[in-house]
Amino acid sequence: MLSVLLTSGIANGLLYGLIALGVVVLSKAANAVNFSQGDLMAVGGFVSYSVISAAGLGPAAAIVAVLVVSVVAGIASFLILRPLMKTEHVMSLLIATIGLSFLVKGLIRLIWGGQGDYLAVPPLVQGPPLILFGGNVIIPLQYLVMMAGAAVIILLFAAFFRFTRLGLFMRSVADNPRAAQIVGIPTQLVLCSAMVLSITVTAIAGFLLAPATLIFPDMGFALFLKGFAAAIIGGINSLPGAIVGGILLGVCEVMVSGYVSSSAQELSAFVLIFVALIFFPRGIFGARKTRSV
Amino acid sequence: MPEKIMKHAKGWLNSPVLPILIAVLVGAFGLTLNPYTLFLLTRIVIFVMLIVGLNIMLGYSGQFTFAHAALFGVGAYTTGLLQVHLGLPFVPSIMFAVVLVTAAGTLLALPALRISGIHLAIATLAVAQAVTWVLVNWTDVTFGAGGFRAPSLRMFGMDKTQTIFVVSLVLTTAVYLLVRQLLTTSFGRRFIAIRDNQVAAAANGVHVTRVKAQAFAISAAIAGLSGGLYSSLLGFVAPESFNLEQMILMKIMVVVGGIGTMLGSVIGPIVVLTLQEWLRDSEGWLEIIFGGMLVAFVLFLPRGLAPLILNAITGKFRSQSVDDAPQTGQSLNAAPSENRKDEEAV
Amino acid sequence: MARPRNQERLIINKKFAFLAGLFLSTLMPTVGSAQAPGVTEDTIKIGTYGPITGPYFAFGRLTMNGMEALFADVNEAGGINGRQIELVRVDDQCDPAGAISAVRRLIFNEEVFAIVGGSCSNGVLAAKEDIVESGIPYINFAAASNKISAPKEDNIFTSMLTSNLESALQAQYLADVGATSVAVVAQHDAWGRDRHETLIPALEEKGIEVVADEELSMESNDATAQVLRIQSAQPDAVVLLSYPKPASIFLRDSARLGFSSTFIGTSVIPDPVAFYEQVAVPGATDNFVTISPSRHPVDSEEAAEWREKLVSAFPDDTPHSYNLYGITAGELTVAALEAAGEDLTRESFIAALDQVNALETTFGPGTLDCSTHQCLQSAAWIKRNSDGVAEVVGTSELD
Repeated sequence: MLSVLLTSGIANGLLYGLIALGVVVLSKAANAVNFSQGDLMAVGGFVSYSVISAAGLGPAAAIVAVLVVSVVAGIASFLILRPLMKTEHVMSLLIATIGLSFLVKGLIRLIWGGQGDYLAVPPLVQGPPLILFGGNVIIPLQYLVMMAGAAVIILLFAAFFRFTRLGLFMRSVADNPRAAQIVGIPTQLVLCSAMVLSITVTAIAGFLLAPATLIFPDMGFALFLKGFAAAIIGGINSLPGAIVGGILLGVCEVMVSGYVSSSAQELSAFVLIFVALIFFPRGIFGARKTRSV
Repeated sequence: MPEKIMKHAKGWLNSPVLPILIAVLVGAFGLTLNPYTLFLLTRIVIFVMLIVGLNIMLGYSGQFTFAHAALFGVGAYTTGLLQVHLGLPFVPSIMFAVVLVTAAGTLLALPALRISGIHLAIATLAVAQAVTWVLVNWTDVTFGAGGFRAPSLRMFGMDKTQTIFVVSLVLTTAVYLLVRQLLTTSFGRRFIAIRDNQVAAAANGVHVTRVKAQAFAISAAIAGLSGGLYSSLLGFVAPESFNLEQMILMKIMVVVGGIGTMLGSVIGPIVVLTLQEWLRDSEGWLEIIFGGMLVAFVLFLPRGLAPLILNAITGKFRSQSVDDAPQTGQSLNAAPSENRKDEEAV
Repeated sequence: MARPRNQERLIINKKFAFLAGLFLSTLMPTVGSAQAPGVTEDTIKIGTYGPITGPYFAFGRLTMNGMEALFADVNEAGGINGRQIELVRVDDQCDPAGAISAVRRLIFNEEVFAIVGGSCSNGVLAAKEDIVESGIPYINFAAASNKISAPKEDNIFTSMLTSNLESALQAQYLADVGATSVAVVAQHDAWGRDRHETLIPALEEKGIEVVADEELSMESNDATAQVLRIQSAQPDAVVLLSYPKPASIFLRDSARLGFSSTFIGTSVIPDPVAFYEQVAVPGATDNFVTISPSRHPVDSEEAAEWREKLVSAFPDDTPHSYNLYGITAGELTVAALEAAGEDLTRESFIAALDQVNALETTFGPGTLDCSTHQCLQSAAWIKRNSDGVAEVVGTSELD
């Protein structure tokens, strides 16, 4: 039982981890939190539904469509929120993104709302689940796709932050925006790409998770909250931390559900978030950064 | 000469006469309305009280939390459950609810001592979700997700909506005047000092910890009181009346009315709840309009409608230069203290 | 949005009525006339409310669509005793405060003759006191809580399968197939609780033991723990008290973990073929059978005619079995209006509803009998057969 629970906890945690990646990218480069991220993840799921189920095209077309939509949404979000993307406006930005979250949810309902209360996206790969260790570990193929997707995204991100100029710019803008501006780093471009990247990775997460669950317009916020918690647990500025935090959260949920009571599952996530925030605000991988007052 | 008139006008705006006069007029008007319109009006009156309290936490002491809807809900549940389970009358029930919610609010200040900003916002969000979880799962006491019927108050030969309307109007006016008075005292000014600059406030001898806890306690007490009234207005208490969606609605009210202004606490609920009722037939545009409105206010009118309305009222008495107050670039974190005194009035 | 033209006008009227109500209602004396409220020489105004938008829109808007399609048919055929039915929709977004304000708006501002609506139990229960006090005839069309219509109130009727009846029928079905131990998976919202509260005693009454009682929330994307716990309890059958989303997650994970049993659905999953497509795992719903207040699912041969009407009237909304619950409610309303005769009053309409005792409807599994005011006493059991077609495996009535 333990191994089966662990496997599904990890697979589910990867989902949270993917959303956490989006949180971390935005926080790393722009010191910002975007509440509409979960709803944009839902957009990723709905766009892939339209491409795969409604238009009958393949997953590759869906990825392209999700990428296009998320880049457009990212640039639009940046243009709307630009005046607020400064450290001193972090709370204003939070409220504005709550507004965006409503807006996006309303648009999803307007576009896809009439097609049914829940929509299903077929699995990207068909086939029997992978059975390992004599049935102790059972992994559905969709989870493998999710894991592979997460791994590819993490590698791309790590390479991006380490080896590209834009990635380096992002890190320096996050560290000290004024100094970065003085030395000639195009701050606005950096903030814009951070927003676009964050939304893209989230929308791809939506694409990867859509077949694992049914999609509906309100799916975003609960997942965003867990993704955010995963990012906090892992240290809000650490990419590997985001994934580890997500897995921790996923495993914690499934263990509570399996060994305590399934009605305590939801509560366990909130307790974990609360404890992590109060006692480990810098997370496990967080940079040591002293806070004033 | 114009200054003299202005001073006179300000004195008049600051006296309790105007709010009481308005309340009496609203009361007389309200008692002639049909039950539908009076229900909407009473809902607005109760939310005015709630937002006055929320503004202490959010606008005056600058603590951004998501737990207010949960506190509101605990007030409603306690008031209703004491009447249902123990058969207590309404008045002691709501008094006990206020005490309980005040205690809960003070406890909530504890995390605020360690963390702030987004971390505090998310931590209180987790608390709010946990409270909802308890309301849903502690079925023996709370009746679970299906909610329960709370007794309605009836007095002075009025029907149930009229009774709760009059009681809410009187209490809201009282809370409004008390809070306004409080904020002009040195006690209340400490809240503002902490919001504007915590370090400077501490350097000037403000006991930050204690003042934060006080702001939370007062804010929570008001949430408890308004929650108790809301349970009587609805006559039915269920978890979905106090969920995150309602919390966001409250935030919209604060932002639309004006963060950290007394007048804004009145305008916000009026505008948002009227719009919500009006948009009921809009077939799905409600979310889009509310979302867009929130973004637009934060970007273009970060201080909400209150300063506009104040300017419209007092503008006649002012010289041009007074109106040149900065209108952008502040709001939630660092609102400038200049030009704020006018807003605290009325 | 695409909707019939006359409804466009109706909505504008509603906005005016709202504004007028807000500012003027007090200044205008109520128009006194011999006619009952909402009834004129050639019209009858019926109000409906429920979630038209928001997460629960399917229960409200789709049920209303079905009822409106039926009323359009009746109007086209000349109406009822020469009167055309006008339908006024108000959105309550499934919120108790919204339901109270919707019901009061229909009673006091729209001054409708009767209300046929209500989709979310908590909303209807919140508004119930107002409905009872005003004495307006009320037919509940989609909310399932037993507390809405029991104890019996003079003016409250329901055409929806109530939760206690549904639970009793489920228990009866399980006893009939010889199950002695059952596991329950429930979502713990108002809807799930209501079912849970009525199912557990119903099972006990039939001597069926509940060997596992698990929760699966709407937010969950994984049911491994629940499946494993239920698997180890070895029940004869599993009752899924949940919306399609948690139910589909549970069935997927059951298929993945090799757990198979008889799975029993509820009336929120009335169409096993549509559900099969949502679960999207071959074989996962093979042992799934569901209960429905409608004799046929919406994608059946028998519903083809209505499907066409619905698609042409509401092209934005995909037809759904909830549409059919609205048709049943509409047929009950129309039958009682006709029976009440020329001199239509609220009293004569309620009396006519009381008299309904063997009304045949297009989609009701059995006839409607309103003597207890819970008019629908029967349900259909539907399964997806091996050809991929929904098959009614039986209809049952309480012994």
